[in-house]
This record gives sequence, structure tokens and C-alpha cells, in this order.
Amino acid sequence: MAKEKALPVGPEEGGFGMSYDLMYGRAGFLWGALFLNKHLGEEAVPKDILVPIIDAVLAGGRAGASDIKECPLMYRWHGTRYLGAANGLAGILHVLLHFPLPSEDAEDVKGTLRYLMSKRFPHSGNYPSSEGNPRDKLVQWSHGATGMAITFCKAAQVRHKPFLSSSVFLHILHCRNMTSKFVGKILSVISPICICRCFLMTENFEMQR
Amino acid sequence: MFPNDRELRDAAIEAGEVVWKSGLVKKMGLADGVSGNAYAFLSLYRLTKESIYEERAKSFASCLYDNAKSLAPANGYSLFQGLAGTACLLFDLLQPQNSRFPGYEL
Repeated sequence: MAKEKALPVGPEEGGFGMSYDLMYGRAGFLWGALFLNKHLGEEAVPKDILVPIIDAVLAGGRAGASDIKECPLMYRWHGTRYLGAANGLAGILHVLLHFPLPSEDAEDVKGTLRYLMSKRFPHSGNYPSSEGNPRDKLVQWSHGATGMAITFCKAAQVRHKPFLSSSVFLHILHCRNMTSKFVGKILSVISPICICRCFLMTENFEMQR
Repeated sequence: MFPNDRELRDAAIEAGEVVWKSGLVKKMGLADGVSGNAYAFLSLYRLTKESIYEERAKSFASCLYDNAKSLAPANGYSLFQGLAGTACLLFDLLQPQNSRFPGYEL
């Protein structure tokens, strides 16, 4: 399936042919790849196959959102801008949240999540199934609050980039170690813990693109 | 992703409240029914570690246990619309901290 040529085609090459959603489109392929990599090992579906598809999904989203002011990414499925998990925006964002994205792309995912939150019905707190649809009836995974709750839970657990990169942080620790024997002794105990923390904080962003 | 603010976490919790108030729908499946809605509570449980979400998931599952036969569609064994999804939910309730919405969470 990874050899399917339509998967990495972006909007500039007329890539609207293959849909982007989770159930029928490219996000579904990416989810399948994540599943295989989780159970068969990191490189079961290699990065050089996935990265162009992720880039095409982001490019397609940017093209689709070009006429919406506050929204960086938007997709259509059969002409409708669905917001839910199965065919819509929440499902695509949920898949993108599993990949370590460069900061510009991560900002767009973040901005789109904010936009999604702003679409909440003020009275009920539920979410519309598609852009501009005033009908407030469905509370289920595929349309409405359920899919949003699960997607927001995932997004809330994605660790953000640390302010200091771990190498800068280690350099500072090293310099401080030199300044005083006493502090040095304390830091010699603390540093390995900090290094572990730094590693944990950055592990999500290890994949180089 | 959102450093120093609780925006996403709060939005997740508020969406979970909607599911609690209006989520006992007439279908049973993962995609469009009560089983899928119960998974929202399991996601919130893993995020917040608050036992109320485990209890809410279990109470939705209890409703399914009592009514599954009347809620099941004609071809009621499908994963996303039938009993197979409910079975996944019941298995996940044995270990809520390791629960995953089939085909969605990893």
C-alpha cells in the first residue's frame, strides 16, 4: 500500500483525488503505519515513506483552509468540511499528533485544535458534525463531543518542546559544576536525573525530518 | 503541546461532560453509539487519573450489558456498529489504564 502513488501527492500536483480522512483516506493509512510500527518495531513502515505523506496531508490542509482566517488546516470529505473523528478534522489531527512535527507544523496543528475548540455549541457544549452545520444532535465518536474529548485528551498529553534543548541544558550544568565544589557535588547527583528528564522530554521530537 | 495552560485538558473534560449528559444514545456501537461514548471516559481517566471517569465508563457499560440485545442492529457483530466493539470495551474495563479505542488510540 505504501507504494500507492496517490498517498504523498500534495494539492499543488492536483492531490485532491485521495481523501485525507481517517476512515477512507490518508490519515487512515498513517494510522495503520503507526499501528504496525508500534507492534512490529519503529521501522516496520519506514520514515521515508511516511514523511512525504504527512507533508502532503499538511499541505492539503493548508490549501483547504486558505479561505478561513483563524484556521490553519481544513479538509473536505465529499465536499463537506466534517469536524469529527471518523471523516473529519479531529480524526486527522489525532493522527498527526502521534508524529514528531517541526515547530511550524506543530503550530498549525495547535492552531487548528484551537479553532476546533471555538466551534463548540455555546449552549450544549457539543460540537457540530460539519463546518457551519447548526444541527446539535449527535453525541458519538464519529460526530460530536465524544471524538473531540478523545482527541483533546491525546493533544493534552503530547509533550511540548522544552525551552532549552538538552545539549544547552547539559552545557549549563557542566559550567555550574565547575563553579563550586559544593554545588558540584549536589549537581553530580541531580544531573543524571536532569539528563533523564531532558531525554524523556525530547524523545517525542527525535525523528529528524 | 500547550505549555502552561490547561485549555486542551479543560476542553476534553467539558466534552466529557456532554457525553455524560447526552451519551446514552439509542445505538450501541463504537462509531455511533454507547460503546464509543464509554471510551471517552476511559481517555479522560487515563488523562486525569480521576476514578469518576472509570465509574462513568462502567455505568455506560452496565447499560450496554442490560440492553445490548435490544440495541444490537440486525447484523450486530460488527466492530464499529455492533457487539464486537462492546466486547472490546468490556475487556478494556478490566484494565482502564491500558485502554485504547480500537482503530483510533494507539
